[in-house]
Amino acid sequence: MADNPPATVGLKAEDLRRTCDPAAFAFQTTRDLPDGGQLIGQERAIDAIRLSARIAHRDFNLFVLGPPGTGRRAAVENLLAEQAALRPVPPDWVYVNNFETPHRPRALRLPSGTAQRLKLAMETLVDDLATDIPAMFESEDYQAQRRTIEQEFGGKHETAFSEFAERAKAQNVAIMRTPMGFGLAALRNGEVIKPEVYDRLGKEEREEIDAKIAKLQEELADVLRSIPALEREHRRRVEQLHAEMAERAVSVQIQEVLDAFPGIDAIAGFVADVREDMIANAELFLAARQNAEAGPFPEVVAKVHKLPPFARYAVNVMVSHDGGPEAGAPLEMEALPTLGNLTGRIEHESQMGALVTNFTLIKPGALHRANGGYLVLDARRLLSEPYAWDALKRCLEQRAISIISIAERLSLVSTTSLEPDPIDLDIRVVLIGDRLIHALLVMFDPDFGELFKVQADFSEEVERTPEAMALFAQLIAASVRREKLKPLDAPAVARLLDEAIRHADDAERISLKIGALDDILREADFRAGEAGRETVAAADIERAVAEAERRASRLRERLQSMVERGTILIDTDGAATGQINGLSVIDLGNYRFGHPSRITARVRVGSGEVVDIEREVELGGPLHSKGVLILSGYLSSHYALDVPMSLKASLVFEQSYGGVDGDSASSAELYALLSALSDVPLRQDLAVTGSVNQAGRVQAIGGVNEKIEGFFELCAGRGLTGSQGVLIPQSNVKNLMLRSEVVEAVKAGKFRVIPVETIDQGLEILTGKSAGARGADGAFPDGTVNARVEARLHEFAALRRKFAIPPEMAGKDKKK
Amino acid sequence: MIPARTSGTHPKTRIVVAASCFADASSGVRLAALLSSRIEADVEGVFVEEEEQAGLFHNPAARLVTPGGEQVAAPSPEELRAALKRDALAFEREIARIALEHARHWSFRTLRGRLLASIGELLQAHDILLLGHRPLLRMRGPVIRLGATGRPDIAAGLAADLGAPIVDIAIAAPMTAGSLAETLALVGRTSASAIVIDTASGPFRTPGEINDLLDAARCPVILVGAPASDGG
Repeated sequence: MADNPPATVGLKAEDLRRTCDPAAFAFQTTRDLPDGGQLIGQERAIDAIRLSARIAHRDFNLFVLGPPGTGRRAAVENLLAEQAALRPVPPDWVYVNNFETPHRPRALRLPSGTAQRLKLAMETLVDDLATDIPAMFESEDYQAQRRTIEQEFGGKHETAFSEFAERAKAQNVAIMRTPMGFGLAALRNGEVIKPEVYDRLGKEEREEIDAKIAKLQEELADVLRSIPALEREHRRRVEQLHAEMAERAVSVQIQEVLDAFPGIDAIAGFVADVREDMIANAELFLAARQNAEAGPFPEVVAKVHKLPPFARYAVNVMVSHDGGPEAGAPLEMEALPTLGNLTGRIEHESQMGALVTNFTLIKPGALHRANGGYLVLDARRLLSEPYAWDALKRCLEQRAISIISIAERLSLVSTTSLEPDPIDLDIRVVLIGDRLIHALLVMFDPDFGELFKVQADFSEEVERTPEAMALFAQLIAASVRREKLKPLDAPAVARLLDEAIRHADDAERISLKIGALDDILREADFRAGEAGRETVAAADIERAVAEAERRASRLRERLQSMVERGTILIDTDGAATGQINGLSVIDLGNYRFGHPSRITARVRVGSGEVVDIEREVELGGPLHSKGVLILSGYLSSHYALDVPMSLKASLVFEQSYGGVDGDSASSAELYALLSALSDVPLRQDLAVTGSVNQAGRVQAIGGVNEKIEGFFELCAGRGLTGSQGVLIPQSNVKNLMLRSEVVEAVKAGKFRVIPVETIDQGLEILTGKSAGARGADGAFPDGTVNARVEARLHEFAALRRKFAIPPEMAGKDKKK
Repeated sequence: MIPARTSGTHPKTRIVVAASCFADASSGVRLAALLSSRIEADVEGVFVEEEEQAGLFHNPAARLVTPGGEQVAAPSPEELRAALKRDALAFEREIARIALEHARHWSFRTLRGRLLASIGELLQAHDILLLGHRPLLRMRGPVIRLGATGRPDIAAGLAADLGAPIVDIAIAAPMTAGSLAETLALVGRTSASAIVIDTASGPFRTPGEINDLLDAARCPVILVGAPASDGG
């Protein structure tokens, strides 16, 4: 066997953690730094926000996507606030009564700052008329006119009846009141003729009496039948008088309202309707006078407009902009974007057990408040509220706010409701969400692309350049000022920057997830305060990071303990065939850590299949399965090309019960498989991470820092030997930002981080033997690992062939 | 609950509502309710089944016109009796109702004879007699104060309660047949809510004069003081 592998070379300590040099900063503490912007490296997103904020065309609504904690919300609010201040103040909107069809309240668009004044003017109008109209009806003028009408109509009737009575009396006929009506009977000597007297009368006389009574009966019927018509005419005359009296009182007051709002057609039209209605319903004010007399305050100061009958003249302000022309356009955030909170709602009141409503119970929503400006919503919350997204789209499409309740839409309640006029909508909606929601909306909602034409994609990281680092320091300074924290000295800023770089999982990039760094800042401020320092030092940052990790590391420590106690079997010395230490990352959401796992491979003759046990028991994810299938491709394309692949191999993550995904262990699995095939043991003091392609090249993986630290911690717990280390893909070297204890161990020669580019390189390090490359004759050099693998595969192929051909058939073949 | 007072046990002022049909009585009861709120008095209802009315429909020449102006056949004596009984019962209930509302003692009686002649014997000096009359118009006319009244507050109080003006009709003294006819004609051409007269001082004192006034006025007549007999 060839035993001439290349010397194992690990990375130098300085390659493992490229820290920031505090000397590179030209400040002592963040107090020295100017107020910079709150964002770095987000120019593309900022341009998108500005475009959406400034462009006048419809449907250029904005979706801000990116992970939480990147400062996207604050950026949106600041940028939109700047733009809102430059835009004109939008008009006010009010709902008023529709006197013709009360269930369809009218929406009035008013110049900004007018709505509240109109509301007050109408309240004053009602209060004044509640005094003026009764006074008008108590005036001598009214009383005289009313008496005239009464006398005229009363006199008409009474005269007619009196004349009839006189005629009846002249003809000796009595009019008697009976339970059934008026009876007519002939008189003689002032007494009603008795029946026996009547019977004794001559025929002519009786006929004469009958005739005159019949005639008088007709006349009486005419007089009585004329009463309803007379009363109708009387009522009309009285109503006319009332209208004239009311008009006198109303017109003066209405004119004052009109004079207060010159040139506003909407108000003029509304007030004209009010005038007409007040004149027609003047009795409301008379009734109010009686109620006011019974109330606790003198009638002159009674707030009559608050009485239910006068709600018909109220002005329901939907949105009012009273801040003057400098106030700019509104910028609204709705934290709970329910359907009602967005589009407004129609409330109901219980009256005698029934739910009733009117236009004064219409309540505005966020769309009303933000109309003419900007509305910022959280996409996830919006989409999780029933019918809210649908309603928002409808409003944006129709450019109008229509209020429809869920209960009404689902026909859950049957009660009186309203159909208010839609209110014109001119708004820019900004949704803030993550990329998944954006992708789902793009894919599954055809309206989304039409309505949200602009996307502002916030990046999670920025390239690590001196300029970016300087801006980052300003960002930290701004955050410190905003949160009123103690200033950071330069080493503390450098240490925080190191953490940002580690969060980026890339030594050449800085994480822009400012939210996570703010948490560290606040805790470091607390630690500095505990220590009695006025400035946050690097040690405070270090402690904040360490404490946060310690708080989250219960599971990590438990796993570590299980390995140390031998419950989970992981070797960190010696060598074993078909067995290797793989590395995985356990992600708990806000904390992740690396953990070694034993991977084993077993081989025998078969039909060319590599069994992924994780997949067979559905503990392996699709990416892991993909990685294992790539191994098959690698084997079949590198070894025993002249015979059928006659291998059956099985691969397993030992003692893994929680599922495995990702292909970062595929190189480790391949090493274990090749070890099993070649029967060459692999070093157990090394752990391996990296995916592999079919050509045998080792490819980059994620979480490289955590994985190295996970194995380091295990080795450190058992005692570092100097031979221990981790094989990582060469392309992951740039991602290294290891904890300082790992770096120190490497510096002391107690631990190694070894980059590899190919499987053969890794194989040689793990076996201590030459991997071997095919020579001109197409064969691997004898004794190399690859040669042993190929020989084993040929052996399997021969065995398989032997089992495939029955002996009698083999004999026939020989005869031929 | 205030019980019905047995007749003749108390000299207290009474408001006596008299009518010969419920349509007349109801207008009188309504005014009695208003008076009860102002005057501490017992309330008494008197329903008089008029002899003339009972005999009216025995007469083949008699005719009937309903208040709506419909000409109908005269009722049979049995139908009339039943109607009168119903009216009396309704009248009594109304009297009881308003008395209870105002916490007054009440009584009710049914008499037979001529309206004014029948009740004349019942009345005492301080009684207020309300002669009901079916209202033909719904419009609210004035309260007529006919001549001087012993209790001027009655007319004023009624007018205030009804929201109606007061019209004073002066009466020349001494009253002649001509001036009486003129007064009746004037009253007859006025659509009044009620007429208030004082039988002690006014020209309408006898049942016949009061009956003429009631026929001419076609509205409830309130008499302060008992009417005199026709002879005196």
